[in-house]
Amino acid sequence: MHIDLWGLALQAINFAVLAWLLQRFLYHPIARVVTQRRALVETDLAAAKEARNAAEENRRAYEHGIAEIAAERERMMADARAHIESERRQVIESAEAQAAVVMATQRRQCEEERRLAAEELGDQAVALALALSQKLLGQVSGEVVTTALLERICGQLATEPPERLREREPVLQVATMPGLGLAEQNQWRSRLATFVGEAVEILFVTDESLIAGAELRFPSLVVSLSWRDCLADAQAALMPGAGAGGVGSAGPKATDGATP
Amino acid sequence: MTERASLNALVVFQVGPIPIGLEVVTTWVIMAVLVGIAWFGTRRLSATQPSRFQIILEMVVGFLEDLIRDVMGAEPEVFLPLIGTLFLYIVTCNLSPLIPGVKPPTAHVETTGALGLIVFFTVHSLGVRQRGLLGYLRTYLEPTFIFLPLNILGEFTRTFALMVRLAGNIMSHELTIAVVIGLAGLFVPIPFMALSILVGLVQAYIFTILAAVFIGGAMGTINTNTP
Repeated sequence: MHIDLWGLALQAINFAVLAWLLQRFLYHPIARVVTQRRALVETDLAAAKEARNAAEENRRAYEHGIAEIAAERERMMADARAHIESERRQVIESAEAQAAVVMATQRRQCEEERRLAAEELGDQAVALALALSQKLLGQVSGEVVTTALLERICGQLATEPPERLREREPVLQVATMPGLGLAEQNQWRSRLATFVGEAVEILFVTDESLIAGAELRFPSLVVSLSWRDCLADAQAALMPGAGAGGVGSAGPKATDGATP
Repeated sequence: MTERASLNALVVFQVGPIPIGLEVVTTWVIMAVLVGIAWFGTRRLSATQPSRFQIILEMVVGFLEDLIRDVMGAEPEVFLPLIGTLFLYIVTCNLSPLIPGVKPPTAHVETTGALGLIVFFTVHSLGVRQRGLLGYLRTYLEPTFIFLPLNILGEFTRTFALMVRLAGNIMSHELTIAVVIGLAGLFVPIPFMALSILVGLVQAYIFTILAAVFIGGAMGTINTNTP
Protein backbone atom coordinates (compact mmCIF):
# COMPACT_ATOMS: atom_id res chain seq x y z
CA MET A 1 0.00 0.00 0.00
CA HIS A 2 1.40 3.36 -1.07
CA ILE A 3 0.69 6.47 0.96
CA ASP A 4 0.72 9.87 -0.70
CA LEU A 5 2.65 11.99 1.75
CA TRP A 6 1.53 15.19 0.04
CA GLY A 7 -2.04 14.14 0.43
CA LEU A 8 -1.45 13.10 4.03
CA ALA A 9 0.13 16.44 4.83
CA LEU A 10 -2.61 18.36 3.08
CA GLN A 11 -5.29 16.45 4.95
CA ALA A 12 -3.51 17.09 8.24
CA ILE A 13 -3.37 20.77 7.42
CA ASN A 14 -6.97 20.70 6.33
CA PHE A 15 -8.02 19.10 9.60
CA ALA A 16 -6.08 21.65 11.62
CA VAL A 17 -7.66 24.48 9.69
CA LEU A 18 -11.09 22.91 10.09
CA ALA A 19 -10.56 22.55 13.82
CA TRP A 20 -9.56 26.20 14.05
CA LEU A 21 -12.52 27.33 11.96
CA LEU A 22 -15.00 25.26 13.93
CA GLN A 23 -13.52 26.57 17.13
CA ARG A 24 -13.96 30.06 15.73
CA PHE A 25 -17.44 29.67 14.30
CA LEU A 26 -19.04 26.85 16.28
CA TYR A 27 -17.56 25.79 19.57
CA HIS A 28 -16.70 29.18 20.95
CA PRO A 29 -20.00 30.92 20.02
CA ILE A 30 -22.00 27.98 21.30
CA ALA A 31 -19.98 27.87 24.52
CA ARG A 32 -20.46 31.60 24.94
CA VAL A 33 -24.21 31.48 24.50
CA VAL A 34 -24.46 28.43 26.73
CA THR A 35 -22.48 30.30 29.34
CA GLN A 36 -24.79 33.28 28.98
CA ARG A 37 -27.82 31.03 29.29
CA ARG A 38 -26.33 29.31 32.28
CA ALA A 39 -25.70 32.71 33.85
CA LEU A 40 -29.29 33.69 33.10
CA VAL A 41 -30.52 30.42 34.51
CA GLU A 42 -28.37 30.88 37.57
CA THR A 43 -29.65 34.43 37.91
CA ASP A 44 -33.21 33.21 37.56
CA LEU A 45 -32.50 30.38 39.98
CA ALA A 46 -31.00 32.86 42.42
CA ALA A 47 -34.02 35.10 42.00
CA ALA A 48 -36.31 32.10 42.37
CA LYS A 49 -34.38 30.99 45.43
CA GLU A 50 -34.57 34.49 46.84
CA ALA A 51 -38.29 34.59 46.06
CA ARG A 52 -38.68 31.18 47.64
CA ASN A 53 -36.76 32.33 50.70
CA ALA A 54 -38.94 35.42 50.84
CA ALA A 55 -42.02 33.27 50.46
CA GLU A 56 -40.70 30.95 53.14
CA GLU A 57 -40.03 33.94 55.36
CA ASN A 58 -43.53 35.21 54.68
CA ARG A 59 -44.89 31.76 55.43
CA ARG A 60 -42.99 31.63 58.70
CA ALA A 61 -44.19 35.12 59.54
CA TYR A 62 -47.72 34.10 58.66
CA GLU A 63 -47.51 30.97 60.78
CA HIS A 64 -45.96 33.00 63.58
CA GLY A 65 -48.80 35.50 63.28
CA ILE A 66 -51.32 32.68 63.28
CA ALA A 67 -49.70 31.23 66.38
CA GLU A 68 -49.72 34.62 68.08
CA ILE A 69 -53.34 35.13 67.13
CA ALA A 70 -54.18 31.69 68.47
CA ALA A 71 -52.34 32.42 71.71
CA GLU A 72 -54.04 35.81 71.97
CA ARG A 73 -57.38 34.15 71.29
CA GLU A 74 -56.71 31.54 73.97
CA ARG A 75 -55.67 34.24 76.41
CA MET A 76 -58.75 36.33 75.60
CA MET A 77 -60.93 33.25 75.88
CA ALA A 78 -59.40 32.44 79.26
CA ASP A 79 -59.89 36.04 80.41
CA ALA A 80 -63.45 36.03 79.13
CA ARG A 81 -64.13 32.71 80.85
CA ALA A 82 -62.65 34.01 84.09
CA HIS A 83 -64.63 37.25 83.76
CA ILE A 84 -67.82 35.36 83.00
CA GLU A 85 -67.18 33.01 85.90
CA SER A 86 -66.58 35.97 88.23
CA GLU A 87 -69.70 37.71 87.00
CA ARG A 88 -71.68 34.50 87.29
CA ARG A 89 -70.45 34.02 90.83
CA GLN A 90 -71.32 37.62 91.66
CA VAL A 91 -74.75 37.28 90.06
CA ILE A 92 -75.36 34.05 91.94
CA GLU A 93 -74.23 35.57 95.21
CA SER A 94 -76.33 38.67 94.59
CA ALA A 95 -79.31 36.54 93.61
CA GLU A 96 -78.84 34.37 96.66
CA ALA A 97 -78.60 37.46 98.87
CA GLN A 98 -81.69 38.95 97.25
CA ALA A 99 -83.46 35.63 97.54
CA ALA A 100 -82.51 35.45 101.21
CA VAL A 101 -83.80 38.98 101.75
CA VAL A 102 -86.99 38.21 99.83
CA MET A 103 -87.43 34.94 101.69
CA ALA A 104 -86.87 36.65 105.05
CA THR A 105 -89.29 39.40 104.09
CA GLN A 106 -91.82 36.91 102.84
CA ARG A 107 -91.31 34.79 105.90
CA ARG A 108 -91.93 37.81 108.11
CA GLN A 109 -94.95 38.74 106.07
CA CYS A 110 -96.20 35.19 106.32
CA GLU A 111 -95.63 35.23 110.04
CA GLU A 112 -97.43 38.55 110.32
CA GLU A 113 -100.27 37.41 108.11
CA ARG A 114 -100.50 34.15 109.99
CA ARG A 115 -100.51 36.05 113.24
CA LEU A 116 -103.13 38.47 111.92
CA ALA A 117 -105.14 35.57 110.54
CA ALA A 118 -104.88 33.79 113.87
CA GLU A 119 -105.92 36.94 115.68
CA GLU A 120 -108.74 37.53 113.24
CA LEU A 121 -109.74 33.93 113.54
CA GLY A 122 -109.58 34.26 117.32
CA ASP A 123 -111.62 37.46 117.15
CA GLN A 124 -114.10 35.80 114.89
CA ALA A 125 -114.22 32.86 117.28
CA VAL A 126 -114.69 35.20 120.22
CA ALA A 127 -117.30 37.21 118.33
CA LEU A 128 -119.03 34.00 117.36
CA ALA A 129 -118.82 32.78 120.93
CA LEU A 130 -120.16 36.07 122.22
CA ALA A 131 -122.93 36.04 119.68
CA LEU A 132 -123.78 32.49 120.59
CA SER A 133 -123.54 33.35 124.28
CA GLN A 134 -125.70 36.42 123.78
CA LYS A 135 -128.22 34.37 121.88
CA LEU A 136 -128.22 31.54 124.38
CA LEU A 137 -128.28 33.87 127.34
CA GLY A 138 -131.17 35.75 125.76
CA GLN A 139 -133.08 32.51 125.45
CA VAL A 140 -132.38 31.18 128.94
CA SER A 141 -132.57 34.47 130.87
CA GLY A 142 -135.72 35.56 132.55
CA GLU A 143 -137.19 37.43 135.45
CA VAL A 144 -135.27 35.32 137.93
CA VAL A 145 -131.97 36.46 136.49
CA THR A 146 -133.12 40.04 136.34
CA THR A 147 -134.32 39.91 139.92
CA ALA A 148 -131.07 38.41 141.05
CA LEU A 149 -129.08 41.07 139.25
CA LEU A 150 -131.28 43.81 140.72
CA GLU A 151 -130.58 42.31 144.09
CA ARG A 152 -126.89 42.58 143.42
CA ILE A 153 -127.31 46.19 142.30
CA CYS A 154 -129.16 46.94 145.46
CA GLY A 155 -126.41 45.26 147.43
CA GLN A 156 -123.96 47.54 145.65
CA LEU A 157 -126.07 50.59 146.36
CA ALA A 158 -126.22 49.60 149.99
CA THR A 159 -122.46 49.86 150.21
CA GLU A 160 -122.54 53.41 148.89
CA PRO A 161 -122.86 56.30 151.38
CA PRO A 162 -126.56 57.36 151.56
CA GLU A 163 -125.78 61.01 151.01
CA ARG A 164 -124.20 60.20 147.71
CA LEU A 165 -127.46 58.75 146.30
CA ARG A 166 -130.28 60.26 148.26
CA GLU A 167 -132.17 63.20 146.75
CA ARG A 168 -129.42 63.70 144.29
CA GLU A 169 -131.26 63.13 141.06
CA PRO A 170 -134.91 63.90 140.36
CA VAL A 171 -135.48 60.98 138.00
CA LEU A 172 -134.28 57.43 138.06
CA GLN A 173 -134.87 55.24 135.02
CA VAL A 174 -134.69 51.52 135.69
CA ALA A 175 -134.04 49.53 132.51
CA THR A 176 -134.56 45.78 132.73
CA MET A 177 -134.70 42.82 130.43
CA PRO A 178 -137.19 41.26 130.42
CA GLY A 179 -139.62 43.82 131.56
CA LEU A 180 -141.10 43.71 135.04
CA GLY A 181 -144.75 43.38 135.88
CA LEU A 182 -146.55 46.13 137.78
CA ALA A 183 -146.33 44.30 141.06
CA GLU A 184 -142.72 43.75 140.66
CA GLN A 185 -142.24 47.34 139.55
CA ASN A 186 -143.97 48.59 142.68
CA GLN A 187 -141.98 46.24 144.85
CA TRP A 188 -138.70 47.41 143.33
CA ARG A 189 -139.76 51.09 143.30
CA SER A 190 -140.29 50.97 147.05
CA ARG A 191 -137.09 49.09 147.51
CA LEU A 192 -135.03 51.58 145.43
CA ALA A 193 -136.71 54.51 147.17
CA THR A 194 -135.00 53.47 150.32
CA PHE A 195 -131.73 54.27 148.63
CA VAL A 196 -132.53 57.35 146.55
CA GLY A 197 -135.30 58.85 148.58
CA GLU A 198 -139.07 59.16 148.10
CA ALA A 199 -138.89 62.31 146.06
CA VAL A 200 -137.12 60.74 143.18
CA GLU A 201 -139.39 59.66 140.33
CA ILE A 202 -138.63 56.03 139.40
CA LEU A 203 -139.53 54.88 135.87
CA PHE A 204 -139.29 51.34 134.52
CA VAL A 205 -138.34 50.61 130.85
CA THR A 206 -137.41 47.48 128.91
CA ASP A 207 -134.03 47.41 127.12
CA GLU A 208 -133.34 44.33 124.98
CA SER A 209 -129.70 45.23 124.63
CA LEU A 210 -129.16 44.23 128.23
CA ILE A 211 -129.90 40.57 127.30
CA ALA A 212 -130.68 40.03 130.93
CA GLY A 213 -130.16 42.26 133.92
CA ALA A 214 -130.94 45.79 135.02
CA GLU A 215 -129.53 49.26 134.70
CA LEU A 216 -130.23 52.22 136.98
CA ARG A 217 -129.98 55.37 134.89
CA PHE A 218 -129.71 58.60 136.74
CA PRO A 219 -129.32 61.66 134.58
CA SER A 220 -125.69 61.87 135.60
CA LEU A 221 -125.04 58.36 136.79
CA VAL A 222 -125.61 54.85 135.45
CA VAL A 223 -125.40 51.74 137.61
CA SER A 224 -125.57 48.66 135.49
CA LEU A 225 -125.37 44.89 135.98
CA SER A 226 -126.39 42.71 133.00
CA TRP A 227 -125.33 39.88 130.77
CA ARG A 228 -124.34 42.49 128.22
CA ASP A 229 -121.79 43.88 130.65
CA CYS A 230 -120.52 40.39 131.43
CA LEU A 231 -120.11 39.61 127.75
CA ALA A 232 -118.41 42.97 127.25
CA ASP A 233 -115.96 42.15 130.00
CA ALA A 234 -115.29 38.71 128.45
CA GLN A 235 -114.80 40.31 125.05
CA ALA A 236 -112.41 42.81 126.53
CA ALA A 237 -110.47 40.01 128.19
CA LEU A 238 -110.37 37.84 125.02
CA MET A 239 -109.98 40.68 122.47
CA PRO A 240 -107.90 43.41 124.05
CA GLY A 241 -107.89 45.53 120.89
CA ALA A 242 -111.63 45.27 120.23
CA GLY A 243 -112.76 47.57 123.09
CA ALA A 244 -116.07 47.44 124.92
CA GLY A 245 -118.67 47.36 122.23
CA GLY A 246 -122.20 47.67 123.64
CA VAL A 247 -121.98 45.35 126.65
CA GLY A 248 -121.30 46.34 130.22
CA SER A 249 -119.07 44.96 132.92
CA ALA A 250 -119.81 41.85 134.92
CA GLY A 251 -120.26 43.68 138.21
CA PRO A 252 -122.49 46.66 138.93
CA LYS A 253 -120.96 49.69 137.25
CA ALA A 254 -121.37 53.30 138.10
CA THR A 255 -120.39 55.46 135.16
CA ASP A 256 -120.06 58.98 136.41
CA GLY A 257 -117.21 60.95 137.87
CA ALA A 258 -118.34 60.47 141.44
CA THR A 259 -118.73 56.75 141.52
CA PRO A 260 -115.68 54.52 141.52
CA MET B 1 -7.55 13.96 -13.77
CA THR B 2 -4.80 11.35 -13.39
CA GLU B 3 -4.74 8.24 -11.27
CA ARG B 4 -2.33 8.16 -8.42
CA ALA B 5 -0.41 5.26 -7.03
CA SER B 6 -2.66 5.23 -4.03
CA LEU B 7 -5.71 2.98 -4.10
CA ASN B 8 -8.26 4.58 -6.40
CA ALA B 9 -6.69 8.00 -5.71
CA LEU B 10 -7.28 10.61 -8.35
CA VAL B 11 -5.29 13.83 -8.76
CA VAL B 12 -7.65 16.63 -9.61
CA PHE B 13 -5.01 19.20 -10.23
CA GLN B 14 -1.43 19.91 -9.27
CA VAL B 15 0.10 22.94 -7.60
CA GLY B 16 3.75 22.84 -8.49
CA PRO B 17 5.08 19.57 -7.19
CA ILE B 18 2.06 19.06 -4.98
CA PRO B 19 -0.67 16.87 -6.42
CA ILE B 20 -4.12 17.82 -5.20
CA GLY B 21 -6.15 14.65 -4.95
CA LEU B 22 -9.90 14.20 -5.06
CA GLU B 23 -10.05 13.44 -1.34
CA VAL B 24 -8.39 16.79 -0.63
CA VAL B 25 -10.84 18.66 -2.80
CA THR B 26 -13.73 16.76 -1.21
CA THR B 27 -12.32 17.65 2.20
CA TRP B 28 -12.28 21.32 1.23
CA VAL B 29 -15.89 21.10 0.22
CA ILE B 30 -16.77 19.33 3.47
CA MET B 31 -14.84 21.97 5.38
CA ALA B 32 -16.74 24.69 3.58
CA VAL B 33 -20.04 22.99 4.32
CA LEU B 34 -19.23 22.48 8.01
CA VAL B 35 -17.92 26.00 8.48
CA GLY B 36 -20.82 27.40 6.50
CA ILE B 37 -23.31 25.53 8.66
CA ALA B 38 -21.50 26.67 11.79
CA TRP B 39 -21.43 30.26 10.62
CA PHE B 40 -25.07 30.20 9.55
CA GLY B 41 -26.18 28.61 12.77
CA THR B 42 -24.21 30.85 15.08
CA ARG B 43 -24.61 34.24 13.43
CA ARG B 44 -27.72 35.12 15.49
CA LEU B 45 -27.33 33.30 18.70
CA SER B 46 -29.76 34.03 21.50
CA ALA B 47 -29.48 32.92 25.08
CA THR B 48 -33.18 33.33 25.75
CA GLN B 49 -34.91 32.56 22.44
CA PRO B 50 -32.75 30.14 20.48
CA SER B 51 -33.79 29.07 16.98
CA ARG B 52 -34.35 25.43 16.09
CA PHE B 53 -31.05 25.33 14.22
CA GLN B 54 -29.26 26.83 17.19
CA ILE B 55 -30.85 24.21 19.41
CA ILE B 56 -29.61 21.45 17.09
CA LEU B 57 -26.08 22.88 17.11
CA GLU B 58 -26.19 23.17 20.90
CA MET B 59 -27.32 19.56 21.14
CA VAL B 60 -24.43 18.44 18.89
CA VAL B 61 -21.87 20.43 20.84
CA GLY B 62 -23.38 19.25 24.11
CA PHE B 63 -23.18 15.65 22.95
CA LEU B 64 -19.48 16.11 22.12
CA GLU B 65 -18.80 17.80 25.46
CA ASP B 66 -20.55 14.99 27.32
CA LEU B 67 -18.54 12.44 25.33
CA ILE B 68 -15.26 14.11 26.27
CA ARG B 69 -16.36 14.50 29.89
CA ASP B 70 -17.49 10.91 30.21
CA VAL B 71 -14.59 9.24 28.34
CA MET B 72 -11.68 11.43 29.35
CA GLY B 73 -12.90 12.58 32.76
CA ALA B 74 -11.75 16.10 32.00
CA GLU B 75 -13.33 19.44 31.23
CA PRO B 76 -14.18 19.53 27.51
CA GLU B 77 -13.14 23.11 26.65
CA VAL B 78 -9.51 22.22 25.83
CA PHE B 79 -10.24 19.01 23.91
CA LEU B 80 -13.42 20.05 22.12
CA PRO B 81 -11.67 21.49 19.01
CA LEU B 82 -9.76 18.23 18.44
CA ILE B 83 -12.26 15.58 19.56
CA GLY B 84 -15.32 17.43 18.32
CA THR B 85 -13.78 18.21 14.94
CA LEU B 86 -12.67 14.60 14.60
CA PHE B 87 -16.21 13.37 15.09
CA LEU B 88 -17.91 15.98 12.90
CA TYR B 89 -15.36 15.68 10.11
CA ILE B 90 -15.38 11.88 10.05
CA VAL B 91 -19.17 11.70 10.25
CA THR B 92 -19.49 14.16 7.39
CA CYS B 93 -16.91 12.30 5.36
CA ASN B 94 -18.51 8.95 6.03
CA LEU B 95 -21.98 10.19 5.10
CA SER B 96 -20.82 12.09 2.00
CA PRO B 97 -21.29 9.08 -0.31
CA LEU B 98 -25.03 9.48 0.22
CA ILE B 99 -24.67 12.27 -2.32
CA PRO B 100 -24.29 10.58 -5.69
CA GLY B 101 -20.83 10.87 -7.19
CA VAL B 102 -19.08 11.86 -3.98
CA LYS B 103 -16.23 9.69 -2.76
CA PRO B 104 -15.66 9.73 1.01
CA PRO B 105 -12.25 11.14 1.96
CA THR B 106 -12.08 8.71 4.85
CA ALA B 107 -11.92 5.87 2.35
CA HIS B 108 -8.38 7.07 1.59
CA VAL B 109 -5.64 6.11 3.93
CA GLU B 110 -4.03 9.54 3.51
CA THR B 111 -6.99 11.12 5.27
CA THR B 112 -7.25 8.61 8.08
CA GLY B 113 -3.46 8.58 8.31
CA ALA B 114 -3.44 12.33 8.76
CA LEU B 115 -6.06 12.03 11.49
CA GLY B 116 -4.14 9.19 13.11
CA LEU B 117 -0.91 11.18 13.08
CA ILE B 118 -2.64 14.17 14.60
CA VAL B 119 -4.01 11.97 17.37
CA PHE B 120 -0.57 10.35 17.78
CA PHE B 121 1.29 13.61 18.21
CA THR B 122 -1.48 15.05 20.37
CA VAL B 123 -1.33 12.06 22.68
CA HIS B 124 2.39 12.36 23.23
CA SER B 125 2.53 16.12 23.42
CA LEU B 126 -0.27 16.31 25.99
CA GLY B 127 1.21 13.34 27.89
CA VAL B 128 4.56 15.08 28.18
CA ARG B 129 2.91 18.37 29.10
CA GLN B 130 0.78 16.72 31.76
CA ARG B 131 3.32 14.30 33.29
CA GLY B 132 6.67 15.80 32.29
CA LEU B 133 9.11 14.11 29.90
CA LEU B 134 10.51 11.63 32.41
CA GLY B 135 7.18 10.98 33.94
CA TYR B 136 5.67 10.29 30.57
CA LEU B 137 8.54 8.06 29.48
CA ARG B 138 8.24 6.22 32.77
CA THR B 139 4.74 5.14 31.75
CA TYR B 140 6.36 2.95 29.09
CA LEU B 141 8.00 0.92 31.85
CA GLU B 142 4.66 0.02 33.37
CA PRO B 143 3.77 -2.37 34.70
CA THR B 144 7.46 -3.52 34.42
CA PHE B 145 10.37 -2.55 32.22
CA ILE B 146 9.91 -5.79 30.31
CA PHE B 147 6.85 -4.22 28.68
CA LEU B 148 8.89 -1.34 27.24
CA PRO B 149 9.19 -2.81 23.71
CA LEU B 150 5.58 -3.83 23.74
CA ASN B 151 4.45 -0.42 24.93
CA ILE B 152 6.52 1.32 22.22
CA LEU B 153 5.23 -1.05 19.59
CA GLY B 154 1.69 -0.59 20.90
CA GLU B 155 1.92 3.16 20.42
CA PHE B 156 2.51 2.69 16.70
CA THR B 157 0.24 -0.26 16.16
CA ARG B 158 -2.79 1.33 17.79
CA THR B 159 -2.32 4.46 15.71
CA PHE B 160 -1.91 2.34 12.63
CA ALA B 161 -4.97 0.32 13.56
CA LEU B 162 -6.87 3.52 14.13
CA MET B 163 -6.27 4.80 10.63
CA VAL B 164 -6.55 1.47 8.85
CA ARG B 165 -9.76 0.49 10.63
CA LEU B 166 -11.55 3.63 9.51
CA ALA B 167 -10.19 3.65 6.01
CA GLY B 168 -10.70 -0.08 5.53
CA ASN B 169 -14.30 -0.05 6.73
CA ILE B 170 -15.34 2.91 4.62
CA MET B 171 -13.42 1.78 1.54
CA SER B 172 -14.73 -1.77 1.77
CA HIS B 173 -18.25 -0.50 2.21
CA GLU B 174 -17.86 1.68 -0.88
CA LEU B 175 -16.54 -1.26 -2.85
CA THR B 176 -19.41 -3.43 -1.65
CA ILE B 177 -22.00 -0.90 -2.74
CA ALA B 178 -20.24 -0.47 -6.08
CA VAL B 179 -20.19 -4.22 -6.66
CA VAL B 180 -23.88 -4.55 -5.69
CA ILE B 181 -24.83 -1.69 -7.98
CA GLY B 182 -22.88 -3.31 -10.80
CA LEU B 183 -24.56 -6.65 -10.24
CA ALA B 184 -28.14 -5.85 -9.18
CA GLY B 185 -29.02 -2.48 -10.59
CA LEU B 186 -29.87 0.96 -9.25
CA PHE B 187 -32.38 0.46 -6.39
CA VAL B 188 -31.12 -2.77 -4.86
CA PRO B 189 -28.17 -1.10 -3.03
CA ILE B 190 -30.50 1.25 -1.15
CA PRO B 191 -30.51 -0.98 2.00
CA PHE B 192 -26.73 -1.07 1.81
CA MET B 193 -26.66 2.70 1.58
CA ALA B 194 -28.88 2.88 4.68
CA LEU B 195 -26.45 0.53 6.33
CA SER B 196 -23.63 2.85 5.31
CA ILE B 197 -25.19 5.57 7.50
CA LEU B 198 -24.97 3.29 10.52
CA VAL B 199 -21.46 2.21 9.59
CA GLY B 200 -20.37 5.78 9.08
CA LEU B 201 -21.74 6.90 12.45
CA VAL B 202 -20.31 3.90 14.27
CA GLN B 203 -16.87 4.27 12.73
CA ALA B 204 -16.77 7.97 13.49
CA TYR B 205 -17.83 7.28 17.05
CA ILE B 206 -15.20 4.52 17.44
CA PHE B 207 -12.43 6.69 16.05
CA THR B 208 -13.44 9.59 18.31
CA ILE B 209 -13.77 7.41 21.39
CA LEU B 210 -10.42 5.76 20.81
CA ALA B 211 -8.75 9.10 20.27
CA ALA B 212 -10.25 10.41 23.50
CA VAL B 213 -9.19 7.27 25.35
CA PHE B 214 -5.60 7.52 24.02
CA ILE B 215 -5.32 11.17 24.94
CA GLY B 216 -6.89 10.67 28.34
CA GLY B 217 -4.64 7.69 29.04
CA ALA B 218 -1.55 9.65 28.14
CA MET B 219 -2.62 12.52 30.40
CA GLY B 220 -3.48 10.16 33.22
CA THR B 221 -7.04 11.35 33.49
CA ILE B 222 -8.20 7.77 32.81
CA ASN B 223 -6.57 4.40 33.47
CA THR B 224 -6.24 2.57 30.18
CA ASN B 225 -4.90 -0.54 31.90
CA THR B 226 -8.16 -1.16 33.62
CA PRO B 227 -10.05 -3.87 31.77
